[in-house]
Parts: sequence; structure tokens; C-alpha cells
Amino acid sequence: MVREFLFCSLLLWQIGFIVYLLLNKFYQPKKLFTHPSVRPLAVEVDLPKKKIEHVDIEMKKQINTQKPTSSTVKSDEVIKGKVKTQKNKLKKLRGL
Amino acid sequence: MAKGLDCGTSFYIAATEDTIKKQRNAFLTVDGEVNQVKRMLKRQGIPFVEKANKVHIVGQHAFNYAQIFSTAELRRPMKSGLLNPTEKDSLPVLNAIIGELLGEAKDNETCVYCIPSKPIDVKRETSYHEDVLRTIIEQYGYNVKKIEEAVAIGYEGLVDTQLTGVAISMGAGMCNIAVMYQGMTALSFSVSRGGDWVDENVSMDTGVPQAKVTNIKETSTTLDLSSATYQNIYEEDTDEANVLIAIRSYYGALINYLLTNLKVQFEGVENVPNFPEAVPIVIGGGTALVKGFLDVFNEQFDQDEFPIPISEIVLIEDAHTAVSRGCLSEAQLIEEEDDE
Repeated sequence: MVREFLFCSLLLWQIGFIVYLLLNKFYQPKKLFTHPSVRPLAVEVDLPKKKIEHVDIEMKKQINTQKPTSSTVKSDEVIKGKVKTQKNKLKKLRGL
Repeated sequence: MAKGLDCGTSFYIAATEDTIKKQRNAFLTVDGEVNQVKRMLKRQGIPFVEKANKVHIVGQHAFNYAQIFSTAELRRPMKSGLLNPTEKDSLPVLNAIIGELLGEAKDNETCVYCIPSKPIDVKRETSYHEDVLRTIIEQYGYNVKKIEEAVAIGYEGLVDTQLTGVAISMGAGMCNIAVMYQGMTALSFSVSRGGDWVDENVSMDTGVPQAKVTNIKETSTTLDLSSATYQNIYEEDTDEANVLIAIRSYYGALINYLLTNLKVQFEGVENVPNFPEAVPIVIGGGTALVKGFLDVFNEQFDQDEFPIPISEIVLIEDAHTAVSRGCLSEAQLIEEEDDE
């Protein structure tokens, strides 16, 4: 009785092991939900190109104009008398 | 009272409605104990500027000293139309010159000063130069405005053609050009060659010191570049004849350079106006003062090559003060507008 039991048990274990090996090798279970394993790559698109230009800034310059300690400068030449200009014609041209 | 100021490489010239003041823009540093030097200069009535324990003789006196003592180094606050970057003592001198020419402003007077157009043959910006001059003039209390040097010439010489034509300012340090149409500037630029360039090259070719060449150019009564006179002296073999021939050659080269660059700039710029009718070229500035200048200009000018039809080439009356008078007109109109 014990020998028969051992024999049947061994046989069942062997059948089970062989079935496991065969299933493992040839059977692929059908998946109900498929999840893509690889994320699709981004597609390159040509964006409208805008030329970026520089921005001008107003610079506040610190200028040291160096006033002289003392000065006796006198003009080399002084011409006195009415100075002739085209101011009136300019004024007319500008419609002032 | 409105004032116009021509800030030239060789001369500063201020114009008001009843006075024109000129000051040579040069100085010479005197060695020695400061107080002793000052006492000596005061006794002789020689104008000087003192700054940082240095005494500088300023203006025509400095120029005359440099003629007499060839070892004395004449220093120039400006070079090629802009502040001279190698001249460290120039600002106090300029400050004193401007102060003397303009004086302190009364009741927010307007002063219009001239600035050079952007040079096409050297890599330099003009903004620092402009800012320094503006700051100095503002120190004396003026309401300060600026105009381009060639435009100031246009205000004096192109009024009869509705401010349409070509205005050229021929200075010592540079030449400024503006092509104007109905009062607007269609094209303006400068070249860093002028009277100094002529003097320098004549000096190198003839061996005569540069200061002496400048003096001959400015004061010689025999200097005449007109073709008739030129032919007469060509046979001579004197030093003076050599200098004259060299001066004439370099004047020709300078004018040729100017006209060639004007042509190239005019053809290279977009939106330049068409001139259906011939327009004048008006010329001002100290470098154009030499006798016979227009003869040399006309020789170099070729209408077939020039992109604008030209009616006449005119030297403005009193060419030396033309820029300052153009600035004065602008200053007067600004003051009148402000008063209204």
C-alpha cells in the first residue's frame, strides 16, 4: 500500500514537472490589456524662427570732467559784430 | 542768448548773435615749480591752466611756442575729430576752453554743439566724446542740444535749395559729410582724415616739422593751390615749392578719398532719395580755407562717376566759422520755440 502510494506520488510529481516545463516553454498567455513598454519618441517640429535682436540700454556714464584748479584762458580771437546766419530762412523752411 | 559751439580738433569756435570767439585747441605743458611757472606766465600775460600740479599753456600761445622751440611737444586734446584717448591731461584744458568761450549761462540759455557723424574708416564710437562735451557744457548751466557737424554746414549753405544737397565739413581731424533732402539727413558719415592728415604726410615727405607745415598752410600769403600758380612754381626747387607741391598732392588725395567714399556709401545704403534735379555741394571748415581749394576739388570731382547730379560746388562764406553759425541758428530756433 505504501509502495503504491509512493509510486503514484512520484508519477504525479513527474507528470506535473514535465507539464510545467512544456507550458513554460511553449505557452504564451493572451494578455487582456496591453501596455506599451516603450514611450514613443517626441516628434521634432520646425518652430517659426524669430530673430532675437539685442536690446539697447541707456547708459548713465559717470564722467569726471576735471575742472581745472586755476585758469587764465582768454580767447585767442574775438570778432565783434552781428553774426550772419541763415536763421530766418531756416525758420521759414520749417514753417515756424 | 543762444550759443553755437563748434568743437573742432584744431579750433573751438563759439558764436552768439553779436560775437564769434575762437580758441586753438592745443596746449603745452611747462616743467618747473608750479607757483614760479604761474608767476612767470602771469607776468607775460600767457594763458594757462593748472591741474594736478601741472601747468599747461593753452591755445595760440602754445602753438607759437611749438613753432619756436622745436623740442616743445604740442599736445592736442582731440585727435581725428574725437577726444584724444592718449592725452591724459586734456579734460581740464577742454573744460577751461569751453568755460572761456561760453561763460556761465544766464536764464537757461541754449547751447547747440556739433558732434561728428559715425566714422566709416576707424572703429570708434562717438558717444563718449558726445557725453563728455555735453557734461562740460551742462556744468556751465546751459540747456544743451547737439547736431551733426555736416548738418550744421547744411543749415548755412543749403537753405536756398530747401535744405537739399550735399554738405561737407572739412576739419582738421576728420571730414564730415551729409546728404540732405528737404531738411532730412538721408546719409551721413565721417572719414578720419582731414587737415592733420595732409600736414602729417607733407611733413613726412618733405622733412619739414608738422607744426611748421600747419603754420605755412594757415598763414602763408604765397600759398595758392590754384592750377595757374601751381604750374609756375613746379619748376622751382626750393623748400617752399616742395612743401606747396606736397600740400597740393595730399589735398587732391584727401578730396578723392572723400568723394570715392561718398559714392560707395551712397550706393550701399538703402532708401536713399532720388535727386531728379541737380543739387549743390556746399563745403565749410578750416581745411577748406586754403587758397585754390576749389580748384583742387573741381579737378578731383567727376560728374560721370558721382551718383548725384551736381549743380555747383560752393565754398561757404567764412568757411571757418560756418559750423558754429549753423549751431547758433539751431540754438536760436530752439529758444524761439521754447518762448512761444
